[in-house]
Amino acid sequence: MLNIRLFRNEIKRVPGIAYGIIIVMVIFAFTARNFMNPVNLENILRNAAILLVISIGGTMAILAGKIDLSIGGIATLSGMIGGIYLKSIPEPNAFNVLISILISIAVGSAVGAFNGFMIGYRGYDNWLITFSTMSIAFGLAQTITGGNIVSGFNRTVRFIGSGQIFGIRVLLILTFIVVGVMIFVMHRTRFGLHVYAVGDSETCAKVSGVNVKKTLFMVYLLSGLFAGLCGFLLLSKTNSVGPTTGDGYEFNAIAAIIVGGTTFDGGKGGLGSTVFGALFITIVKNGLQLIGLSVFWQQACVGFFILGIILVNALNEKRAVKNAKRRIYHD
Amino acid sequence: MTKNINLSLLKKNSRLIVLLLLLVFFAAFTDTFWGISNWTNILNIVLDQFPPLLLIAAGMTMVIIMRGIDLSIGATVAISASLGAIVMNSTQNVALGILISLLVGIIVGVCNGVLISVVGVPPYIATISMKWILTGICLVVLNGSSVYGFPSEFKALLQSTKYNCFIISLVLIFLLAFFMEKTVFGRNVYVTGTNETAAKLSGVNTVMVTIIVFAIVGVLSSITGLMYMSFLGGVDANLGSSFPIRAIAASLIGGNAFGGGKGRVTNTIIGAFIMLVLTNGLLHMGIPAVWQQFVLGALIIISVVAENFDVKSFLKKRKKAVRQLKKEEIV
Repeated sequence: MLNIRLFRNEIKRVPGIAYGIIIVMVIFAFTARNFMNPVNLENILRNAAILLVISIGGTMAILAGKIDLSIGGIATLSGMIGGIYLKSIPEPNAFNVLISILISIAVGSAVGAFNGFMIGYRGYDNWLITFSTMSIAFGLAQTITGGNIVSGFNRTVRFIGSGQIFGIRVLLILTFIVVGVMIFVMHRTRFGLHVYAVGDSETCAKVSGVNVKKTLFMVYLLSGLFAGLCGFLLLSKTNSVGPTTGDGYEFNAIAAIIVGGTTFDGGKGGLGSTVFGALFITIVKNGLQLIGLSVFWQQACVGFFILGIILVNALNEKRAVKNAKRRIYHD
Repeated sequence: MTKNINLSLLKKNSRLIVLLLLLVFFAAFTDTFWGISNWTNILNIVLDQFPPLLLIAAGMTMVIIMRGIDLSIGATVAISASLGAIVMNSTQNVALGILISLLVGIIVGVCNGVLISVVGVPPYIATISMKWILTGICLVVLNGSSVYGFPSEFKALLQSTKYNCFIISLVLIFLLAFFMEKTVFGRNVYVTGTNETAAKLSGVNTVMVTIIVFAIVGVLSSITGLMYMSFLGGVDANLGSSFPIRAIAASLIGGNAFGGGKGRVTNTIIGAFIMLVLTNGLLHMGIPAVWQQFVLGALIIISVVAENFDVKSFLKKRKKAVRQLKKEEIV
């Protein structure tokens, strides 16, 4: 008896979208040719990994009740600067690649710190500031190369994005480590719990002694940092970086976060559910492509997903409120 | 006292001063921008670029007053123009094409409004999802290419004289301004923006207000689309990709503040003019067009910071600091 109940509780803890992933995979396995091909599955995992890394910051921002629209722009800009540094060296070695990663992360963190300063310490509207920094970052990425693409790196640079250790992609290992660390940080450290507290209610958090300004600053700083890392990963995986590389990533990240189960109210959800969300979005996009649906439909589908999930959430919430009211008035 | 009055006057007319300074600056430092013998450029700005920007910025201003945002206006422009263009080309009926285009604008606006007010989706999420959905539909409908070759009557309608679009846009702006300042509906918009709960409690139908405002924005976007159709002679899906940020920039530079309930539609006229003068002037200074995106983002941040910059409290703080310093020196 006890075991069954435990098992049931375990099942309840799995986010709903995990079942969605299974359903979608079954559908595509029958309808799309080559979907279950190991190469394709690996491709899905790699795409999901990059989306996941960029979604880390977005999840934290949404958990804190804010939003970060600038992650796509930051990824483009930092990838671009890292790429230009690598291009300036004739034959980059492992040390140069490390420096390039650090440069990407530094650029991302700098933009993130600006966001955090304006939003956390100055109290400006969060999405307006990040929307502007998105435009600034994309604009800078465009001006640096005059709109051209930086491409053609050697194997050392591509190692992180498409290399293997013991038959496992480096990208997947790296993502696993980064996400694992961040899940630990979000659930087991003071900072992570502060983020949840701020998202639940800024006033309550403030009254309880949480340094709201600093927490928000750190959230945006980390968001920029991971966007910067993602910029390098994109460079390393696709072997090129252009002024529109990260275009739409902020939107896909939001989709992954929302589909995973984090809500815009803040304080609800977590990084673990974003993992499933990122997988779901990537699988759907990949499957639609394999079915032969026009490429143009892809982003539209993601848009429909976001609105659909929000609609379902809103209906659920309304029902919950109704039920709660009924209980109050009946007793 | 007089000092305070002077300061407030200065703040009130600061936008006009900025505009004049910019005009003088560009006239003095470039040969082609503006001169006694060179009217063509300024005329081109006023007659060609001003009307569409003014319309979308005015729509954005209304939404901003209502404490919302519309990131889908660019996509609305694209889809209403392209659907209108397709109908117009296939039936050779100009009136029908225009009607369809306006209808599409209204439908999109109503969808946005319902999502935001009835379902309760945050405005930026609803409209950014809408943007991707509409762009996707537009790409599918146009199959990734563009529509051109409209009936000659259509071009004659909007381009028979140089001043048509300009006059239409100004008339619309003053109608909107009248609507917002002098009618019950307009005041309701302000009240909804200032405090939605209070508005609801005092009997304002906030749901209806939101839907109507977004519908108006949709109509304004489709009129913008028609203007672009008439002077570009063709439409494609990426027509309006930079419109949201340009509209936000123009609206905020004009002196409308974020946070709801503040701002006026007529402010947008100066805002749009400042933006056009600046972007055109930079081109005439020899700064490449790729810098524009960067400039737009920076402009938004600067204008937001400037809006919140309180001269009086700044002076007070400085006085206090100076006093403190003196005290410390004495001690």
